[in-house]
Amino acid sequence: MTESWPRETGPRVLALGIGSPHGDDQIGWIVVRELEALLPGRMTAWTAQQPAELLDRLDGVDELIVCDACRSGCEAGSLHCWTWPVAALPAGGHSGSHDLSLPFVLALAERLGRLPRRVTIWGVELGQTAPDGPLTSAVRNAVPQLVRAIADDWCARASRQEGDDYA
Amino acid sequence: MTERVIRIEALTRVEGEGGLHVRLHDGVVEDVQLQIYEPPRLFEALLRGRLLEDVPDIVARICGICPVAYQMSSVHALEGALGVQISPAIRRLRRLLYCGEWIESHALHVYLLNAPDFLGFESGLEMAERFPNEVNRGLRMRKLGNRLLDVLGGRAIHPVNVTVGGFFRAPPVEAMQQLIPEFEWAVQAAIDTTHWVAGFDFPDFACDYELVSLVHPDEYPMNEGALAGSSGWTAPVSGFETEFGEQQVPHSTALHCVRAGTGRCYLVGPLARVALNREKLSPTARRVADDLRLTWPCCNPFQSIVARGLELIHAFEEALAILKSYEPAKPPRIRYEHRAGEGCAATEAPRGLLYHRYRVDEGGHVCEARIVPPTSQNQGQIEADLRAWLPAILSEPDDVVARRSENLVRCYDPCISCSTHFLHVVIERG
Repeated sequence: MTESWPRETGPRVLALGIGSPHGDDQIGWIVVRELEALLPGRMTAWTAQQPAELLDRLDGVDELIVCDACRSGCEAGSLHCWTWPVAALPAGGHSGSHDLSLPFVLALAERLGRLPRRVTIWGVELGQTAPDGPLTSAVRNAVPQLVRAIADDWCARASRQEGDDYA
Repeated sequence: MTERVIRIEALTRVEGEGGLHVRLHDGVVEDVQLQIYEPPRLFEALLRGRLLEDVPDIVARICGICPVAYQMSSVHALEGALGVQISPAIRRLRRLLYCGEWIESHALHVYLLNAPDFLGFESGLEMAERFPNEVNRGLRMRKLGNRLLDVLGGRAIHPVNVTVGGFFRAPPVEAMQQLIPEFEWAVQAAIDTTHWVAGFDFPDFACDYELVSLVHPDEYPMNEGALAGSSGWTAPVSGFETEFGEQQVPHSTALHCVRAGTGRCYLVGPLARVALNREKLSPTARRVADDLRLTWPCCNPFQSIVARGLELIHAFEEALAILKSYEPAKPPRIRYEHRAGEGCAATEAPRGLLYHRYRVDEGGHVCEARIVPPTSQNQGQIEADLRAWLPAILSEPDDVVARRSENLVRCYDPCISCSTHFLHVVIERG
């Protein structure tokens, strides 16, 4: 499938949200949609249920922003940020075949020479994932801050890189 | 007398969680146990009291990689209970959906799970660096399987368009036609895949198998046919519970399925399907099967990967033919009235035969459900094959024995999650 990019020039940035319709697991989807709305023409948002779907979206991408729910024991709504490669997210950690994990998929794309130059992974600490349920209040209330933090980080890096990486 | 113990904590590149325990005494294999210790998932009990219309979507959750198989066996069984006859157009669409599942499942297993074993890599990641073109080819084929499931099933994982009586909605012609160019590419990609894997260096190992699959007079079996075994017997699917019995073993929470009467284990899956249905493969798949230097029936489990390649060719070729002649089924769903009844069906999941039986009441509620997944049927055979395989590798160091045991287990593409859940291997040498 050919991606339609918002601008003919400049870096092609893909904001990929991974999640499901269940409770706080929606957070990746919600954040990338709001990011696209906040930065019109600067990035393309895409939502996926499985990390493996990422492999179908990488052609022509210069920069990848991934947002997914995570669980580490921190307070719900907390934000984590990693720049790939990430030792804390071992690619070989998956044991089954049903779900190719995000680190595995990123590592596979890297070995196949298909991974963009810059990959940033944002993890949002989730609370509950009730089937078809809404976001918990903790995560819902954190959304504006999360989106702002990711956008600010990207804008700061983009301005530093402009005329450099993407010249 | 000496004892030798080898432990493998976790088998990778299989689906689910379990363990393998091997005990050796004076260099002789005393016992091999495929230990599935995860709690049973209790889907059969979960279904009781539910409306029968809920069943296809609930049983799809048994497996993330073969949900279509669970949906197909359930809808056919329930339609049997209700006396529903689906139209030829719906039947073709169901075969098309099944093609999508075979493609995504087989492509994943061939390229990322099984091929690394034959090429000396620890993982699909390692293999991808040395064989990027092959891995990209596999990923592209897998993507096509997922796209087909997405277009026809509503989404790639756990499709939502399947219902008792047919489909909620028949996809528009344009959406199906858009798939054709990529599927034309994929037929050749599947041929290349099959030749590639057929060239691997396979261990010289043959088993005395009772191969079991569906057989059909006119087609390669997917969602219809009679039961058949390589020793020459056939039986209607309604005789499944007479032909086969389930046994509880102390070391596994999953039941072992054996031939009734003899108590003999048997093999289901691609090797069995090709062995019993080779003449029903699509023309190209049959030609490639004939050209390969393999004797059919093939009873070397390591060569299951070749059978998967042939089924990839078949699935792409059959899917392409259906896509090219596609017209939306009208109606996409056959209406029915609830009534009390009982029905059973068996279809061919990527890993092998999948049997379902349901009894429903006049209000459409499930009174009883029975599900026998393929990995449950293969468990006993996997243990038997390991017993036969281990003497050939026991002179190797423990880590090598463990790895080569894992290699064999992976050849069956076991889905322990389906039969219940992760594999943890312990080998005791005495």
